[in-house]
This record gives sequence, structure tokens and C-alpha cells, in this order.
Amino acid sequence: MKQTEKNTRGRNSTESENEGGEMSAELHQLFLDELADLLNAETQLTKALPKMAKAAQSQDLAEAIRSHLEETENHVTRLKEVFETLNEKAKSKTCKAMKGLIEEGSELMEELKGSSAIDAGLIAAAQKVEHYEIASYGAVRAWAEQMGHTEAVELLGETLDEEKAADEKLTEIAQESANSQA
Amino acid sequence: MNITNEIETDAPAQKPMNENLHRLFVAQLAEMYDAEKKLALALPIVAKAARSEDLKKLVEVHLKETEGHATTIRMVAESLGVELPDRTCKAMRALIKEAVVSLAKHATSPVLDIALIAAAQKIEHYEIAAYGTLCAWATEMGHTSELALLTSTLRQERTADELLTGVAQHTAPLEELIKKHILTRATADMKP
Repeated sequence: MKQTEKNTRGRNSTESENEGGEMSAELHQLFLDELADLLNAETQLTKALPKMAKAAQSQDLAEAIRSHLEETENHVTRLKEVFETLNEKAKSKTCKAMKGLIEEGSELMEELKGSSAIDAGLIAAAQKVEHYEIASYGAVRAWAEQMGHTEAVELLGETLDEEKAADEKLTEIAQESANSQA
Repeated sequence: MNITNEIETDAPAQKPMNENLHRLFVAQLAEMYDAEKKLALALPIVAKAARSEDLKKLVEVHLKETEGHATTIRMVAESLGVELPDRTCKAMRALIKEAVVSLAKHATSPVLDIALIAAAQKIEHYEIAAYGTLCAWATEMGHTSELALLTSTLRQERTADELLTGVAQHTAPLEELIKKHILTRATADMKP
């Protein structure tokens, strides 16, 4: 009887240890998957941003998009660095959400060709993209923190800050152009 | 008060240069209407899959809000006297697809809730960006009463995102998070 009890207890503790181990292994995998998704998303974006900059009417908006293109290229490099700090091979997996966002943006650009509202449309599309990235980097940064990947936290935090700044800059440009037209 | 009324009644005639923006505004409203309806169909699946009671509850509450957001968009359209064209929100479709794939992939995994929260926050951020834009355009065109409606939706989307972060971090039970949030918001609203 005692023996059984001991065995049961023993098995329970092993089970809970296993669950903890499984949890961190699975979180690690989820983290890698999300990084692969982001790497693909950023790469897709480096191809879409030049078209948006070209379509922009205002010089300010074109410049802001071009400067964010440079940052985006940097984000690709940073993500590869994150994989390196984890001793993992950099992977990329098609990000369907970014694909949908970019598709929506291109359709909007097509619809607004020659319209005075083209910049407003571009800003709207760009802010949706920025918010997608803010949510994604927010998640991976939190997971990196949870798993104690200090270097990754720093790298991902830098990008997260730049995405937030890009979003704010777009709001500013939208407000300035609204004010100048009023 | 008088000024507001004047703008509301005379807005279309007064600002012809905003015609293009008006058209864009209506198109985006229609897209968000489709997005909210799509989301209302997807959220029950997420609520059912969620393991933690708090996440389940939060998603259920947000489902009710989401149904309200669709109604709000119809009210905005009515108040502007426009008919919403049929539009498909491809981005929301892709976001939901991604969420469902993630749900299926992690259905038996201990990280299921974490994955669901990440997917839900991407959706919330999409909506925050979209309603942020709609509010900015409503302001620009002087659609004051429509702005109030859209702002209340924007606030609920932001709150949902913040509560998801709270549930992910297990900082406190959902009810406490909600109470704390209402207090913070009330204090913030009192500031000029």
C-alpha cells in the first residue's frame, strides 16, 4: 500500500516535470515558428514598400516610407541575428496575414490611382501593416522574456520600438496633411 | 452646439474636396463591416478551444462587443445616409485563417492558449489600426456624431488587446484586470 502510494506520487511528480519540460519545448517551437513567420513578413514588406513610396503624392509620406524600408531591411537582419543567438538556423515560413495585408494595400492603391485620397489610403494600409508587426513583435518579445533569452529580448525590443515609431510617424503625417488641407 | 449641427447638415455641400476621402471612408467602413461579421463567426471557435476560463470568458465578452461593432458600423452608414457596398476584407480573412491553422496545430499542446492569444492580438491590432484611421477621417470630414460611435468601438478594441496581454501574463484574474482597466480609463478620460 505504502509502496503504491510512493509510486503514485513518484509518477505524478515526473508527469508534472514532463509537462513543464514539454511546455518550454513547445513554447520554444512556437517562438521559432513565429520568428519564421516574421522573417517572411518583413521580406514581403521590403518588396511592397518601394511601390508604396512611389505611389505616394506627398514628399513627406514618400520619405517616411523610404526610411521605413531601410528599417525593415534592418529588421530582416535582426531576425537572423535572433536565430543566431539561439543557435538555430534562420527559417522563413509564408506569412499569409502579411500577404493578405499587402494584397489589400495594392488593391487600394489601384482603386485610388489619380485620386486626391491616395495618401490617406496608403497611410491606412501602412498602419495596418505596422499594427500587425507591433502585435507579432510584442508576442515574440514577451515569449523571449519568459524563456530568459536576454539577447533576443533586446533585439526584438529594438524592432518593436521602431514599428511603434513608424506607426506614430504615419499618424503625424496624416494629421499634418489634414490640417494643411483644411 | 450650433456649429456642430451646421457641419452635420451642410457637410457634403461644404466640403466637396473631400469627396474622394468620403468614398474611401465608405469603402473602408464596408470592409470593416465584413471583417466584424467574419470575426463574429470565428470567435466562438476560439472561445470553445481556449483552456483557461479567463481566456474563454474574455473571448466570449469580446464576441458580444464584436456583434455590437457590426451594428455600430450600420448605424454610422445610416447616419451618413450611405449604403454600404459589398466588400470582402481579405486581411481579416487571412488573419482568421492563420488563427484557425494555429489552433489546429496546437490543439493538444500546452501552449494552445498562448498561441490563441497571439493570434487574437494580431486581429485586435488590425482593428485598432482600421478604426484609428476611420476616426481620423471622420474628424477630418467633420462627422462628429459618427466619430463618437467609431471612437467607442476603437476603445473596446484597445481594451480587448490590453486584457489579452493581462491574461497572457497572468498578472491578475480577468475580473480584477477589467476593474483596474475601467478605473484607469475613467481617470484618463477625466484629463482634458
